Amino acid sequence: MELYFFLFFAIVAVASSVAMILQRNPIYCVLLLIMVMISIAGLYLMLDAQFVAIIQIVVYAGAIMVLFLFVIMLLNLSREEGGVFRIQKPLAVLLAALLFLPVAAMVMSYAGGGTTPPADGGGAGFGEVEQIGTLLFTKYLLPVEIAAVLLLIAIVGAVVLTRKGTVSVGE
Amino acid sequence: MTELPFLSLIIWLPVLGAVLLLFVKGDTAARWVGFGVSALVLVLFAVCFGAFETHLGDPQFVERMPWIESLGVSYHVGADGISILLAGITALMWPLALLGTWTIVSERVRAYQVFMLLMETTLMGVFFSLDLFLFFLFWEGMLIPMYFLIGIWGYENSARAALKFFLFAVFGSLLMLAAVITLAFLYHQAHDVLTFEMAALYQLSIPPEVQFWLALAFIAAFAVKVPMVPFHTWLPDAIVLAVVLVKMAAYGFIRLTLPLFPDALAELAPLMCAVAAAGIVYGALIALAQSDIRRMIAYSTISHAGFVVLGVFALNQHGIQGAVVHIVSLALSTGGLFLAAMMLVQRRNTWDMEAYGGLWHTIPVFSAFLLVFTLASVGLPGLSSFVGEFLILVGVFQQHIPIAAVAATGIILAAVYMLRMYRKVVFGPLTREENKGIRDLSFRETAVLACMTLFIIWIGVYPNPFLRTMEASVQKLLVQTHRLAETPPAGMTPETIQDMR
Amino acid sequence: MNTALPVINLYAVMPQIVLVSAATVVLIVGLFERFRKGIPYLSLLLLAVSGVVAVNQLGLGPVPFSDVSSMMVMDDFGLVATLVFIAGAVLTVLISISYAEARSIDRGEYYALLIYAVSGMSMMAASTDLFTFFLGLEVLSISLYVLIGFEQRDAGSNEGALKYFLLGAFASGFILYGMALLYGASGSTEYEAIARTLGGERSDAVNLLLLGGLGLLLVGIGFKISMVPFHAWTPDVYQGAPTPVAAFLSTGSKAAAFVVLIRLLGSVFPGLQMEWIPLISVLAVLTIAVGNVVALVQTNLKRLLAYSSIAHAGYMLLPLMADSQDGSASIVFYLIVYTAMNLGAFGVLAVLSARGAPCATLEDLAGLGSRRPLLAAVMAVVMFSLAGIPPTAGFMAKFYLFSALVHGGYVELAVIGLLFSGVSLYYYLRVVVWMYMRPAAETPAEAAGRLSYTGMTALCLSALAILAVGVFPSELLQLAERAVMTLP
Repeated sequence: MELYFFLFFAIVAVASSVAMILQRNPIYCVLLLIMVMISIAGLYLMLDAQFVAIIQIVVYAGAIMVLFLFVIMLLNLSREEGGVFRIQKPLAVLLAALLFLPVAAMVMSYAGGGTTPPADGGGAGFGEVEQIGTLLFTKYLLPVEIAAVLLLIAIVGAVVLTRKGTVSVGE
Repeated sequence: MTELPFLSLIIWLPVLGAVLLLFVKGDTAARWVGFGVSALVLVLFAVCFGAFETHLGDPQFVERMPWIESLGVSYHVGADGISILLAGITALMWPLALLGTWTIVSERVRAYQVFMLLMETTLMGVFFSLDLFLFFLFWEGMLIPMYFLIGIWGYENSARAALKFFLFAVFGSLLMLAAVITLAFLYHQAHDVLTFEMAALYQLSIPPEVQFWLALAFIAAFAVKVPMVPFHTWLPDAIVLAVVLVKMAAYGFIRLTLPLFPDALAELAPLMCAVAAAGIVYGALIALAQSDIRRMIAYSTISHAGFVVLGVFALNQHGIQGAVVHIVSLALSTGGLFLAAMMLVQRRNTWDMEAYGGLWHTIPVFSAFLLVFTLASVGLPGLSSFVGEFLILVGVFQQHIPIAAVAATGIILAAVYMLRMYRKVVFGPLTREENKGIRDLSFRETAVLACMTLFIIWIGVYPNPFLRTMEASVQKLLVQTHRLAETPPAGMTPETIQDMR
Repeated sequence: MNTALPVINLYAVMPQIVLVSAATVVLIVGLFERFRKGIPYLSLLLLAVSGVVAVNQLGLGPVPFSDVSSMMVMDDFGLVATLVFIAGAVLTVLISISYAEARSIDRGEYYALLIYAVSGMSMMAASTDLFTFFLGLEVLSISLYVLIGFEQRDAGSNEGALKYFLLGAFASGFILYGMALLYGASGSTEYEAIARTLGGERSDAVNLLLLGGLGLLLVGIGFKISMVPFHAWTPDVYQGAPTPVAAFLSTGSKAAAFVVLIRLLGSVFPGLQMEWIPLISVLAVLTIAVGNVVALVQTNLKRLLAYSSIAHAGYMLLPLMADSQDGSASIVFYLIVYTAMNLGAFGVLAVLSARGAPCATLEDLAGLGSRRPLLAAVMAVVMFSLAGIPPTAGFMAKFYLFSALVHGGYVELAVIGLLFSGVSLYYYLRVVVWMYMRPAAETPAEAAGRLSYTGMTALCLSALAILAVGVFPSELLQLAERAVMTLP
């Protein structure tokens, strides 16, 4: 049963992302991306990571993608013109295939097991809000703080880059 | 006697002068500072030379202090008989050169003085360094002032010439740097001490095949600067510095290549002698075909440099002493020749010897001096070059008779091209209108050339003081070289080295 | 709620805290128009304060962040690196002042982002966990994306920002993928745990995962240090970015990535040496070759410096193979010297192009020697130093680096590197030729008048430092050696 679910989500995720790249209409692209997000959320669920799955849907599929849609519709983007990347396209496929091969080999050889189980987590309560919260406030305290700084920088950067011309604050 | 750090003063005084120059305004003042500082160096050097004890083969006036300890580098300077002679000629030539080019260099005078002084520092540093790292530092550092001197105050195409010179020189030096690092590494492996002391590295026994490659790297660095055929192509464009470079590079051969790589020399020395002899003839033949005075002097320098290398790689007392004397005399004769030519060109603005003729009638004083320098270059007995060339040929005859025979033809060719030049420039009828109004030498110019002439005659007539100064050092050098080659010490000639093979 | 909160040690992250706060203060003060002129000086002051904090912590020994996990450790290595970054930022601010004013980008955000970037680099240098390394990298990268595109009205700046962003995002993706594989293999993101997995018995499968992870990490880091074949962005981005930012980009971000590389390869992945040493040696030689050879034909100064910085990255990769304290110390020393040199070189361009047309090509430098003697002298010192001619620091750095390499037994690589550095002389000297040996154009591109005092101060300082270190390198060498002593 688990295998079927996995196959379902995995195939949907891969198929939607491939379709998204091939799609020329930006709105379809976004919708397909949402499909990718949701199927990945499904994969998370199967890994007992309920919290991450929910966050994935709420934040990515919900908030961010909706924002994308808004922007695209507001700007009234039309179909992307084709034919710009004539050489790049086959090259990209080739390179991706090249990269895929070693990764696939890695996964195949892993089939017999051999990874080390995570040092933290597993066991009861894994993937629940409480455990994640505890980890964020103990072991991962510092990364959380740094992530906060990172977000601040991102906000500042977004403001700086989108503000018009040389008008400065206070004028 | 040695309370004062004489050598450090001699090395670093010009740098101080260069710094001082940054605050001097006006061309004349800059000239005086440059001349004054180099004259002061000469005085210091004279004091130093007076206190030098000729019977010792070891370095004297030694100063040593730690410098970069984690790399095992120390500031270690000292002078032995060979280096003091070469430093001496530098100290003498510098004020003379600055005085001689007093008005010839009229653009960016201050910068010119700065670079000349910096170059004096690096030259003195090369001669006095007893630490291989320090040596390399001065050796490479010299390129910067030289580069600017060639590039800014050189003659036509100077920027290109400077670049060409720099690239040639640096490729040689980089190979040497790799060899220097390897040497220190080998010493570290053997004795677990990181050091660049030359005296220590001399004692290192290196497997012959490694020696061969290291020696090649060192030879590459020096051969470019000597300049030896086939690494000479930069020279005709950058002749200004040729005399200085011959001095340095030959010193490098004597100080480093010989004592460091005795086994490799067994293979390389005859080869080097052959190449040097070829260079003598080649340079002379090309000089024969020049009508441009500057290029002719350049190729004659290549030819003379061949003699110096030949002497060094004869690997015996006569050869090395002859090489050193020949370097000193080259500085005087070729340097004088070039300086005189520059004075002439300043007046007439052409290097073409066809443009002159009959100068004897208009500027007799100049012509007389030119005659002295020409004859000195030819190797007339009684003038300085004769002593050097004679000793070198004696040295080589003991080793390789055919090579000596080939080299001797170089002297004959030199007589031909030198006298041809002199005839064209000075004798003959005074046909050209422009040549009639030339001024003769001023007092300053006369003084400079007279001073050089004096030394040329002194060395030619009575070279003993010079030979005696370096005798002990050369002997020590040969002992070092030969002992490492596991042949009986002292007095042995390199035939034994060859016989062993 | 019975979870015990961890005991944390703020000393472990003190420099980073100070830097982040400094940046935030600058950001807030920058909002007030009346302080506009003072912001750069405030930034300098705050950077100096963080420098003092870092100096004070030198020698305290490794301090882990908390009792639960280390994440970041403030050891001498991280501190020395942080000091180098701060010094680089100080010089960048100094050369930015007039440039930013002239182009109306002298806003608080500019300086704030610069300091944020420094904090990110410092985090990378101190991190002992892939997590914090990645976050530090992102802090750095995002600041840089914005800084590169700061000149919104300039098409080149926008182009550079977009290129760097797209490729940078790719590189981050590679790093993340690599991290995931490493996590899979060892069950932890801590360097120590990964090293432990590597040290112990390991199956082929784990080995493959580790190798894959390392490879992907190398791709990502290789992008940051512009290692061939991940270098293609470098010239375009340097050319487009505001010149002081290009200076910062070519020194700071490269140095940070190198510091991480030293930590990773030296203390986490020695177990995979058989695999990565041949790889890195080939890539290093390629990087040196491509950088030096392509630089030969450049006429645009920023592109020339970009290729030269690629070549220098190649030199710095070499001693990684020596795998010795000497090797790592020589990289640290080289990084310090390289920071001074490259900031000097870009600084001259920044000062020259502050007003009037930007100083872009070699022709623009013609006659600089007589027009602006001091500036030309600085540039000449920097060029000779980049070329590695004594008595400059560049020579000492190269000497130390290549001797570490020879001691590691890689004589051939040292010879190859030295020969290519001979090639590099050609293009460095071309700059000098143009400055001193070519007559000036009728109307020089740059505006007449005084050059900015702050910029000139920075440039003279770095030129003097280059000469001083070239003659008396002992102190700095010891600092570099001390820094790597704390590495496991």
